[in-house]
Amino acid sequence: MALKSRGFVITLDAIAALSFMLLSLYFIQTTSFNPTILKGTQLKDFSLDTLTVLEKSGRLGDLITGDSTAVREVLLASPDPDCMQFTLSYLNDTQIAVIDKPGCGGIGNEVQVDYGLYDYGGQVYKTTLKSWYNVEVG
Amino acid sequence: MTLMMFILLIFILEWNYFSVRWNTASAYREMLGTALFASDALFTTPGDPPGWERLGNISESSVHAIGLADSRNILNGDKLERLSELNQSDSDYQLVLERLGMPGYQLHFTIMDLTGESVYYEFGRPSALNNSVTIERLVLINQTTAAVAKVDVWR
Repeated sequence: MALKSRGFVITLDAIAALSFMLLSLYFIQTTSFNPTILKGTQLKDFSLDTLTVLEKSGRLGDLITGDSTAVREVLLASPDPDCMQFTLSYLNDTQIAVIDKPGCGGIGNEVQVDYGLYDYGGQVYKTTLKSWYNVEVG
Repeated sequence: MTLMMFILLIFILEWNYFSVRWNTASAYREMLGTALFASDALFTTPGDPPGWERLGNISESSVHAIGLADSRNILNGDKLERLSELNQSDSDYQLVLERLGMPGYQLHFTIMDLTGESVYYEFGRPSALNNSVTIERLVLINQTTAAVAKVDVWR
């Protein structure tokens, strides 16, 4: 008597091979190629640039005398995905001014922090720049 | 048999997709790295020799590195002017690329005010195809003027 119905025979090794292939496909689809280390270096470079320019251009002197406009201009010139918060304080960490780049709001998750010292009129001040990527923009 | 062929086809297509993504990402990484190193050399070092801008003849043997800064982020006007002169001929432009460690790539950078409205200085060959990697740096011109340097690297 001949059998008329047809079908597949799925063996254990076929299941293993299929699982391996599906896992490979999943890996290929979800692998991220974003160069995070270089992006971090880019942010670090720009942060150090910002601190240097603030210190050497005399803009911090304006901030100490009460005018924060010049510092805000520099923070605003950073690329859109970059967020920054600049703090000027005395050496004992008493804060004089905290200036945020507009549109960032709060502090991000992966924050880079750079410090500097600034001498103005014989008084030494501490400068701190926190920077991170704004995930919504970048 | 048909099922096997179908699975094989999917795998080949996925592999091709993976290769394309990998190659694109590698090219991007290389260009971004090159742009970072070039911008560091230009805006944070004076070059080698430090007074290269005063040399009468700039050649492979007389200049080992090109830099535009007196000290970190403070640009020297004479160096900027001399670099402008080197922008006039293709052979000098190629020499600059070589001395920045980026042979095989193209470079274009502009230095503009903080709002990006006025361009103070420009160097290199802009890309017509929008295929460049761009990074930004902050610099000081003439000790006082804060400016943004936008560096494009492309192939």
